[in-house]
Amino acid sequence: MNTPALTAAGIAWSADPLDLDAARRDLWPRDSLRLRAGERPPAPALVAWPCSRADVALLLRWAEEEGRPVVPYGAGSGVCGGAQGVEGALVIDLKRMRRLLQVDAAAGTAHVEAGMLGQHLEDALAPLGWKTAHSPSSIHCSTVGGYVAARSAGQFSSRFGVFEDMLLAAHAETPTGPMDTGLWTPQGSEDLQAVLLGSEGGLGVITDVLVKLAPLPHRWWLRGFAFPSLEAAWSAMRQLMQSGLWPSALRLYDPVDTRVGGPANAARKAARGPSEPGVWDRLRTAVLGIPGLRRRLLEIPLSLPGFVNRMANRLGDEVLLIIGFEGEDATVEALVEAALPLLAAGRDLGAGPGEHWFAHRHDVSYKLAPLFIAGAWADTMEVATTWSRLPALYAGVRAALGEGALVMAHLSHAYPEGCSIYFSFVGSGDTAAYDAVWRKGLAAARAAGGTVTHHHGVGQLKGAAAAGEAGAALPFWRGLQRQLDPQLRLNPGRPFPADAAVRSEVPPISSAGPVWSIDAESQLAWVSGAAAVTAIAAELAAQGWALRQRPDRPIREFLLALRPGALLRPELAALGMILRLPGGERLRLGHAPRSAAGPDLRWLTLRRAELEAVELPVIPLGAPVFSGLDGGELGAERLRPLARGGGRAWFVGPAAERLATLAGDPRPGSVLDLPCLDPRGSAS
Amino acid sequence: MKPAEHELCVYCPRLCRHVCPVAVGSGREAATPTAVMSGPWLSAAGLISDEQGGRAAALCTGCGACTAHCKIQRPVVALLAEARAALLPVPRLPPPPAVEGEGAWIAVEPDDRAWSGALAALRGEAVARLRDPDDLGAPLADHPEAFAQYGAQVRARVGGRTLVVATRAAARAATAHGIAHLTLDSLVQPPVDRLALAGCGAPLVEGGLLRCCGAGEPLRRHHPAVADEVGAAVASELGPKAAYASDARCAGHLRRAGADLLDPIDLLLSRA
Repeated sequence: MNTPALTAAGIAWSADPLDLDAARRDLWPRDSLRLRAGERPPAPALVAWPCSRADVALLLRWAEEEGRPVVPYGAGSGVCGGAQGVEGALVIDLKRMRRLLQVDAAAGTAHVEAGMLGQHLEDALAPLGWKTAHSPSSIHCSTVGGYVAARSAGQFSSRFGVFEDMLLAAHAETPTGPMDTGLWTPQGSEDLQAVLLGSEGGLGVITDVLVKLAPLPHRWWLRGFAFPSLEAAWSAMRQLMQSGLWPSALRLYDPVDTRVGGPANAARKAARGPSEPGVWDRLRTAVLGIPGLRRRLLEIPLSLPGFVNRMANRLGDEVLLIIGFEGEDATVEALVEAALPLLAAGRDLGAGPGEHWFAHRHDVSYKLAPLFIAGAWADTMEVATTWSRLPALYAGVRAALGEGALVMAHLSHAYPEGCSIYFSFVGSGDTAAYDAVWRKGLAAARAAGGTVTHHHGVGQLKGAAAAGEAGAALPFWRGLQRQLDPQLRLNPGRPFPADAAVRSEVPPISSAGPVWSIDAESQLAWVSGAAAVTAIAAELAAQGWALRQRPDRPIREFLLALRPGALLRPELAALGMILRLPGGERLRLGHAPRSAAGPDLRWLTLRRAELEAVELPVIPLGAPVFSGLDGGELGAERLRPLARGGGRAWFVGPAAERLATLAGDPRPGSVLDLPCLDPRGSAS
Repeated sequence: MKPAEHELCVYCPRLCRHVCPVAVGSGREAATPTAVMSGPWLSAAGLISDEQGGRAAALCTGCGACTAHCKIQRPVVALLAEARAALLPVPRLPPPPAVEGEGAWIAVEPDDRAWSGALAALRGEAVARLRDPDDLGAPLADHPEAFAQYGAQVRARVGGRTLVVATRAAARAATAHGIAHLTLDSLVQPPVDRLALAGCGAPLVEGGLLRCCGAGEPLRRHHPAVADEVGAAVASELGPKAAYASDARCAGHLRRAGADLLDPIDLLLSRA
């Protein structure tokens, strides 16, 4: 290896076995399972620590000359094997690129290097009165670049969106040169931000990003509500999101997680304060203190997962919902007042459960290691779908995982159109048992119409499944990869395996007229890509619906005219697309409400295909709407000052009526008062 | 060594990495407390050599920030010390130097700066000196028997007099050896116009900055390049800001990295 060239260029590097060993794996639980059995992924040949964009570019040239694969590495917090070791590779470790380069208070943005840990970024922003509002449970051990590469979501996504909703621009280095996306896209060039997101190191090495900031809140309002059933609780979640209230925290625990994970139980214990341990506590502590006995005790339920899961079903139906609003005092009070009627089916448990969750929101990961030591393994699977398909997705995946593992779930990323479900499961056995559980879970997610990943990315775990979601769009990705990385040196086989089959599944949707179908529960409509917006609106009106926000020109033209950086604006929320390729092949891309199954190939494909149909959000035609009173203390923009993507805030239904009254608006408007969207990004 | 005690860290998703000065300052994955704790476990499992396991366990300054952050409070510093004792040879140190001069106090001078005379002037009576670059045997602290033997030799040389130390490592060693001591920092007036830098257990003063500079044992001895990386990171964070460190070892380390640092020896000498 020509390491003197690196030394001469002033780039730190190491071939010390300590450094090479540490770069073998990320946090894929399967690798922990292998480690327990004495196996480890391959070791790279060299680790290098660039300090600048130029250093990264030089390292890529060096890898080219050396003929080595390249694995970009942040903090290795991925749980799917995306940063796992590659034999003989150069690992580009970004953690010396960890500076907060600039905070623009006027614009509310921060320019950050990719290797900065999430917690360090928040620590640097807080004294300035800002935050990113991105709070993944991995915030202590994950980097900003990783949030882009694997399409991360944080605990406040229901209000602020996922990380890509905050991402305004990014810079990456590729083997053929620099790449700027979003607001940094060079004039006349194609904005590739949608495909850099989720590229998992397979397109370029992300070096620095521009992110949107949110002000630190003056106040938090946190509450727990007990609902009689899961269905009653997610109905309340759906109404909260479809009303436009978008709480910062919105977390629903299924019956098992309510009892086992238990923020409500923990909060009750905390409220009781410290007490002397009873006989039972002492006995339990003594028993669990004997490692061999603890292992045997765990083996019993893990050997009978189906039976234990069925028994768990009998624990009762009551579930816990955590809800939290943040902001100025007056806006929080107004939002709470508008939200409480939507929570009427639940029993108010007070502030305890919510505050307990908030204080301990990053602690759950401490529970993993003891399970591995006790001979078990644990993992999580985060899927998502529309509200109408949510019951089938929950039941299907839970049953599939439950054949081989103990399962519980919570729902923590909600959208007006749907929700993600986060399954936590504990099993026993070797990697074969682990793989079998995952195969069944992934198949069940796809069978129920859900995406296989909401925010954990793809890695090696979900490569084939993600390729299935990409379908016939994969050649466009591969073409772009060949253009930027002709020798395919970057993180080989990730996020899509090289041998992934290109298959497309198009759902059977009636294709007559401007409106193909309406999903009332999810407030989504498939509309013709060829029809005029006026014709679509008229047809929707005839069925009692309206587009939530109307494009100001034909839909395909509108989508293609979007300014750089606005491709993923959720207030536009063009979710699913059915496209016809030049060769005549049809494919469906995009899973509502969101998928992190690799890069978002919709826009790359749309530029090269005919748009047959697109899935757009709709609202009931007669619903009251509040979206006005700019500048008033309780105007819509003050109630939701950072609408995801910067669009105009809107509220619908009874909540809109209440907010309009509080704001002093004599009467709420109708859907016809909602603004059109123009492609430059502001409402007109 | 207790490999089983390391195992909780082996499977932990690196939850304390953001508070570890070595991991953050060096940017090295190998320096995360998780990787450092994994080393001895991997060597016990036969997956890496004992030497490599011991070197992993030495990627630490013993600051304890990981344990302070850990929700299950793993005693990382103590476990790593036991691992190093089992996996690494006892460092070879020359015998403790002889005490030079007379006086009830002995100035323990960690570097080339001679300050016993300045201390004598401040005190108004003679102060002896002990030129000791090894902080009273601090590098032996992982090896209780060797450390105790070294401590006995130091006690014999000191003979009941009081040591004045300028490093936290020497203060800790003096405590362990049962030798009466004062810190030089407590005898000089810290400057008010400089940022007070705290580390290695030195208390954080209001408005000060808590940072570990990387100069602590065992990192400095076993991984000097990494110790320099940590020092460079802290120096870079300080920039042109003038700072004061109560520990002469930290100050010297950061000065070499380009920081504007004063320590108690500088203050004493400037006032003499």
